[in-house]
Amino acid sequence: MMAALFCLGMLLTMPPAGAEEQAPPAYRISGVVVDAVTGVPVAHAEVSISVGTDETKTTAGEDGRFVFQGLEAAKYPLFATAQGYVREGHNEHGGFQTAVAVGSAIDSEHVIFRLHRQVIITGRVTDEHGETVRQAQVMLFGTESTSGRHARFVQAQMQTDDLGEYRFARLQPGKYYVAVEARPWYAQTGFSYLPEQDRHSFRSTNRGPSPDPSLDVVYPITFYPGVTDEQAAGELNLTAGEKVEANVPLQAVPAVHVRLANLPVGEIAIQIGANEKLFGTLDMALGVASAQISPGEYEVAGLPPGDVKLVVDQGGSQGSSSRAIRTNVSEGETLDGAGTGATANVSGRVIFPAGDANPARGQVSLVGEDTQGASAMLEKDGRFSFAAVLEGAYKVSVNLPVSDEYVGGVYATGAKASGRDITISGAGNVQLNITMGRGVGQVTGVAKVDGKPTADVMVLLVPETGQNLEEDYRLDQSDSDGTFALGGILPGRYSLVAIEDGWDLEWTNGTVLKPYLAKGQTLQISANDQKKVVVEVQHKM
Amino acid sequence: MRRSIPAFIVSFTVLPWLLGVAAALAQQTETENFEVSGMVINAVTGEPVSRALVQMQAGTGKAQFAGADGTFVFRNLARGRYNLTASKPGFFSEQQLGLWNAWRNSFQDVPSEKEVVLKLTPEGIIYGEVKNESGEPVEGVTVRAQRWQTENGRKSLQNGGEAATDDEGNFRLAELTPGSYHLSFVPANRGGWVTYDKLHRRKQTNQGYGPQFYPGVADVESATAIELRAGATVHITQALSRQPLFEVAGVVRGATPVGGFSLTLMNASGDMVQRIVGIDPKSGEFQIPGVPAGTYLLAASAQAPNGNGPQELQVQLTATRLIQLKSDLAGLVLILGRGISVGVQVYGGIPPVETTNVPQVMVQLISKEFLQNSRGTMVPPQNGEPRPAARIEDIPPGTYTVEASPNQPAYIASLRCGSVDLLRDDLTIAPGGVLPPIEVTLGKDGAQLSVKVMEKGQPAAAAVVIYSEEYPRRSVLTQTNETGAFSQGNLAPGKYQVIAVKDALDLEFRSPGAMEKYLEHASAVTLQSGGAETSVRVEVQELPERHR
Repeated sequence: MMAALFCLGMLLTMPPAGAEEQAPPAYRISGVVVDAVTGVPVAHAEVSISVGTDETKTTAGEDGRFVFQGLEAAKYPLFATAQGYVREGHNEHGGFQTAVAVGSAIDSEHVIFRLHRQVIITGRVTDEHGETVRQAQVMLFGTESTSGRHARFVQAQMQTDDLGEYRFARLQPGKYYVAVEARPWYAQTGFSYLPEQDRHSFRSTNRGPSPDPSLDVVYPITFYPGVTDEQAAGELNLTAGEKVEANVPLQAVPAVHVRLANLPVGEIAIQIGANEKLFGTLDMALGVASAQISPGEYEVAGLPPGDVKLVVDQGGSQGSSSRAIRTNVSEGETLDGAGTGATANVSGRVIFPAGDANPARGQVSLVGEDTQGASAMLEKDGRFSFAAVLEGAYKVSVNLPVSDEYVGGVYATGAKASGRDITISGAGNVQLNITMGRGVGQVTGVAKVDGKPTADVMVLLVPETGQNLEEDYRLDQSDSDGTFALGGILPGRYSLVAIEDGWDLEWTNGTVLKPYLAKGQTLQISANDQKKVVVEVQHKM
Repeated sequence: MRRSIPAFIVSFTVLPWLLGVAAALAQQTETENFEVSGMVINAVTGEPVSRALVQMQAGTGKAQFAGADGTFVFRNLARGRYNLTASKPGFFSEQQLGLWNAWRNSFQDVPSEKEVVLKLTPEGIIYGEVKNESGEPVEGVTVRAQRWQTENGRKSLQNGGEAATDDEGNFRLAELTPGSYHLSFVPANRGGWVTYDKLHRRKQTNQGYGPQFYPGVADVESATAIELRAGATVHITQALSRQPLFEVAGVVRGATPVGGFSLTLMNASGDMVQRIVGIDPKSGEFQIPGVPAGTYLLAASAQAPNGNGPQELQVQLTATRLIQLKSDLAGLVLILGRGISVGVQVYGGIPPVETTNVPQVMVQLISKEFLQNSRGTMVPPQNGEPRPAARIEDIPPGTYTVEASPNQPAYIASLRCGSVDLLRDDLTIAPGGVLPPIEVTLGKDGAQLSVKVMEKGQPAAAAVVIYSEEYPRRSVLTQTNETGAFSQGNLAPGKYQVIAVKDALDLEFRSPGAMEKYLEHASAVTLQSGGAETSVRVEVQELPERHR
């Protein structure tokens, strides 16, 4: 079950909980909280269950035992915490947990709650003079994820205090990496060039007032223990209950200035930003400055040396587009801002379900790799047209202010379309017809081993084609009675698998998932479907 | 052509720093090749501050680090006036402290005999830990350092710093300017709240931790202030005490069962205090349990049912209610609507009354209960626009002080809303109320007053209040320079008391209560409309008491 109470959302709506019973039978949940590593009972743990608005707390005894009495038949998410331990759900896997089912003929009296001792990572960020750095952004990367990928993901971030210190507590045991992004407090970002007076001249050679080189500096993104290459980042492999200090010394380096040429001139508003990708999973925005130095030519200042991605955003009255220029920047370089590919004229129409045309304030977006993309406003009749779109592969999305509609299909002339994806090759005219769908499906069921309902199992629904996997997959963990629920499913053909101990599988990788799919179930989901299934649990291979 | 460095700079390093300050290093040459030098010092201890960044903003934007001994030199300067500022983490410049003469003080004539002294005031720090009754640390408590600050004669509680307690209950608030702080503690809300489509049947927990002030009181009026001097570090241990928690319940009418509605409960600091909201979408009934005693704004909002044309913009329906919570509160009825609005009409300069070609006026409704409820608008939206009417939309019920400030030379001849004279009285808006328009009449024939400030027979710099007993909200605060002289135009005709004080940073100069004690030593003037300039001399008064 999804641990709804862990969501940090502003508003979260739970479905109404069935018919009202008159005299609820007095069921119980009881069990023991034990240390996940040693198996020793944890005294005085705080245990809570919740259903609807009713959250009930209790404190476990000296022997770790706890009881909730007088419960109605339902499934209860169960949480526990204790001094020096994390706060987690029962058998929690990143937001999913095994809720305890209560009712006749269900055993809810022998719960073993394995609670993990917390891990603490603290440290201090200092500058090249040994002085503490305030307000440095400290990012903690970990490997735990339920997204089916093996990578390092941001788990938490915070700013250093006035002592330059940071502290991440209540962490699960595991492997961690620390990265720091900061700006020298004294930095004076300067431009090398002054705006060109003569608008006909193409290249500016007008040297501006050089900033003092000792002040025109940046901190490259720095990893514990003080390295700027993420491959060399120090791994903090922490077992339950461990506390480590990971100090990060920063070293200011001269800021890099580059020029971007061949950018559009005229009414179009241009914004230039820069990103650095960390561990392949986080696009970290860097604070850079840019200024036009001659028509169509910009200077970008305040860059760290190394691999960065310059993102050029162009805004017009009808929409905007952005493209990325990946580069290993070096001082004084001039880059071509025009991009290499051809551009196409893309226009089309959004077709809404009958009787439901409300494109007011809506927007169509083409989302490509590397933040390349474009967006256009919807006209009253659902038509749209983009400014020039660079050739490439894009996902089509339609953003409506208040709507439960989704992109059902894309039909293209002048480009290849498949599902919600299009590929534009070469210049020319592209016409898109986007049909919107409404009504999502739901799959509920029981995960079984040899006909017996099984708890704690990973239940995964993936599109049969593998297309749009990272958006369309649905995931759950079977509760103590083996039941699970997958909601919000877009119509289409899917495969359903249940895998025991499957949480660290790299299931986004087709070859990893393939053997499981062979024994999976195929489901055709249409709008507003409510399917009930039994799924046989597979063992991890 | 360049001049070499004057030889006596060398001597600087061997002199004690106090002598160094006295030494003037600006050097004139025939080629206009000057330099300016000085020192960055700690405003409290007088000791040099090492490695501060000294910036020269005028002209070329030069910057350099002061040395370990606090000294700096800018060379090769042309004759002129330069703006010099120093900065360093953990310190405030005079500008950052908001000192009235900071901007003028930051200019330096070159060449000059004067050695520049740049003062940095060290930050104050409040740190400590938050515990529960059993002495266990409490995590995730928002700790705020708030202080009363007077801006434009209006006193309000401003946030000076904010931090959250960590897993050991520790918090640190740094970068605080000197002053008198109230610490508030707001227990964790785990980042949001949960709305359920279901009402509970059982009574919820009736004890818990609500927002509280140091040293453990429910409201700011009974809180103990922490006097924080520049450079001071103060340690605080706060034991949170459990308070009775109450339930707010009632019904929201006007939403559709499908569209639903959302509910928030906000306190005067802007915190959302609801943790759980139960709603029955069919009946509109709601329950918000676990709320400590206090004053709150309950707000319901919903999207208007999507009516006619497909092009209709989504309309937000709202309903708000001010709540004084002392016990469980049930049976509240909120009716969703488009919110209360009031028209604003500006009449341009009298005589004669005009409705066209009037200058822009900023009209603000400043909430007496919840500063966040304040609303404002610019009338007309464009300067000189022919139809100078506007509306202020979506005004929560409550009591408001109305202020009108023209952006061109003019005074407010009258400010009314129906029978309410807004120059004297506040505007009370009842739930569901319908208001006549706010009418602003500008006067262009304002009086001119020339003031000369004296202190012990000498002209002196001071803060001057031109105070109107008749209409305290017409009172004006200005600052003179060292000549003590200034002239104020666009004053409404009438009687005024002119008051000069040394420091008016915290002066509520539009409050009769705060100004009463100054009236005895004030200079009275009567100003005529449009007439010749009236002159007045005024002696600087000592503050009867420090009322920070």
